[in-house]
Amino acid sequence: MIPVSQGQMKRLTTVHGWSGVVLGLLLFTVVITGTVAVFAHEIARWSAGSSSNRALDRPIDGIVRGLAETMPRFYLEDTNIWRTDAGDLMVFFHAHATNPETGEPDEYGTMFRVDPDSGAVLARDEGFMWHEQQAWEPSALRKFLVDLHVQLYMPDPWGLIVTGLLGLLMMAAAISGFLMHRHLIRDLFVAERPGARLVSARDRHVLASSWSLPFAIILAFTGSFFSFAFSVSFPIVAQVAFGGDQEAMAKTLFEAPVAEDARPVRAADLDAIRAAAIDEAGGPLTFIGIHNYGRADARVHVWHAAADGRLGFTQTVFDGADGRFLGIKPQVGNVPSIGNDLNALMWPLHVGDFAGLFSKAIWGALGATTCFVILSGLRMWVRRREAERLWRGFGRAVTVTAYGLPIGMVGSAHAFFLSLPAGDPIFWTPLGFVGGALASIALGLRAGDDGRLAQLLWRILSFGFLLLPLLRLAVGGTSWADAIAGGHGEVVSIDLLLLLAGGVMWWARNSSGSYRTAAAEPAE
Amino acid sequence: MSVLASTAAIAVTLAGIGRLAATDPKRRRSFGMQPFRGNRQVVLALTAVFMPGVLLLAIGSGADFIAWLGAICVAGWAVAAVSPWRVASAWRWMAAVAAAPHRLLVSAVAGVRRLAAAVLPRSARAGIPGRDPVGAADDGTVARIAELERRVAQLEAALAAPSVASYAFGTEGERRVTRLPAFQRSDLQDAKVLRTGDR
Repeated sequence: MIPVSQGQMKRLTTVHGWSGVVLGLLLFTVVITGTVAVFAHEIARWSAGSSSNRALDRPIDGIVRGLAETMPRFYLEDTNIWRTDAGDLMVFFHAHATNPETGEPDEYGTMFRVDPDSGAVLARDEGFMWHEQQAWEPSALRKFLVDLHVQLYMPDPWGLIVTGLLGLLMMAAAISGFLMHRHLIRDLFVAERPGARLVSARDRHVLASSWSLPFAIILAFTGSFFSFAFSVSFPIVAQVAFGGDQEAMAKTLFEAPVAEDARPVRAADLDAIRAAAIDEAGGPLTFIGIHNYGRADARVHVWHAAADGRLGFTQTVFDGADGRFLGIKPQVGNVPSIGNDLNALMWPLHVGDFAGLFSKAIWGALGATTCFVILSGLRMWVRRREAERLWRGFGRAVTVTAYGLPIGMVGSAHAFFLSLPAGDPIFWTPLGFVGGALASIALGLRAGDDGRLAQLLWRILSFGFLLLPLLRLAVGGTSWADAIAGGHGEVVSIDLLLLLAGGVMWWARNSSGSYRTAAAEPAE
Repeated sequence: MSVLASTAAIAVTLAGIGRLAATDPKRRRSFGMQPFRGNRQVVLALTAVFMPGVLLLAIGSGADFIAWLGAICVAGWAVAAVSPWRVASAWRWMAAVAAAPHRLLVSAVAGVRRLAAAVLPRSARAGIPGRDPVGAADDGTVARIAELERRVAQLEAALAAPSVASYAFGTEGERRVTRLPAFQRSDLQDAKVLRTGDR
């Protein structure tokens, strides 16, 4: 494609190979958890059990107004309203204060969990609520999987920095691979050649990476963008332009300017605003934010999921005092801009959340393809060097990681369901992952042969898949009949997918034993 | 509109990718296949690959286009990753599946008849068309037995006649052999077995 000299090719090969070897397994961790995290909402509804899909489609004005009347004025600075994946209505009245534990500005207030049908308050908590996950997160499993993807379960901001660097690494590998491959178009249809030769391993890697190249770059770039935005970019912008005041920066970038008017007025009807918002934006409501509820300068921001044919979410703004529609607000700034348009593209391009399950399934498949590219590349590297003991050990690490991570994730799901009756899944879910991963590592250390190890881990994984739906039902999860009656297709779908995956893997278990340990061949 | 349009576009694109893959010279050479004979129709295939994307951009939406682009990156790989041998094997399997309904019908009819023969009482079986009263299989045996009995009778009559001996054994040691018309040894053996069985 692009002519490169022999020396350049050598350097590109070095960059491509060593970057993959040094951080490839960590990158695989981020990508495979991201592939699962694409279906975060579906996993949450499947694991937590959903009672209703329509918490924000029902009248909420009476509920919010009644709760607001019990709140001190201080807590009405900001009000967040959303629906959990379990179907409950959440209302969080809060103000901003410095969190003594972190020393950072934080949101302090009262959070209500409400039954959207009856309006009954199911729970009331007070404090710096974003640190109290059990109050608002119905699925510890979803939370764990997303956290693992976003920051590898590392402390802030190091996790974000590491995942951001891994995104850059993935881009470097994709671009260097593109430059190295001189016959990209000519090899676009060459399937893995038979014979389990080195060239077969190369075919496998090159074919998958050639087809997934555009989205590998897109996913890597958008992932890095999100990681560095919160850990590096915003703090730098706040430091440079706002003297370190991140709250002032957030107001400037994300809130519409409004002249202060603290006169108390009757708040606008939220149900009328909901209806008008849907008319204006088209997409379903996902979140409502009210600034200065019950004051003359109140503003209501309504977030909508992507409407039919659109990529990004939309934000409509209303006057909180008289309910007037004020306009559709750009995500960044207050006037349309190229920067805002590019920023709006980042989220849908990263998670594929713009056409429901259709686009999510495509993004999940893209993630799986990227996993295949990483593993096939690592295996090819090992294959070329398996005469050396060190690289055979690395090959064992690749096998353990390739199977151990999915086993760990399945283990976390098992731990989540097993700990549900005890009521502490937030503690046990990560431990389930650690247990599954450690068991895989232990088997990897004990096994004498890579082929047998792969077969054993394969069977454990398939058994784990098969057992999950049964365990979910055994601990009182939503039954299929209730799920179908309530319109929660994800419950039945995920159960069936797990049974199918486990069954097919169990049936095809011998295929994993075809791991090749032939002698190294010269590069072709 | 969106999902439907994207799905249709993906299907057309995949058809184009499939055509390009099936006729690709390097792919065929790598698997020891003969070069594709005939017109590859590359322009038509490329049009099928890219035109849906252009149309989605022109008359659909950006979301449709992005979904199409993502899907063809995955599905294109899936199509190209299948070796030509597996494709040929899949074609054979599909041909077998297509022929299966006829075979199934024939097997089902035979199965029903065997089931009826096993389940129904002998008296009821007598009423089944084409079946003789003693329950012999309806495969021409009845007619064959009748024919054999007719021939046996013919043979016995021929043996009983004095002139027949002169056919078999000539006078003064001269042997003259004359075949009886349409006589076959196996027929005679069958007839003996049947008659022995009768006794």
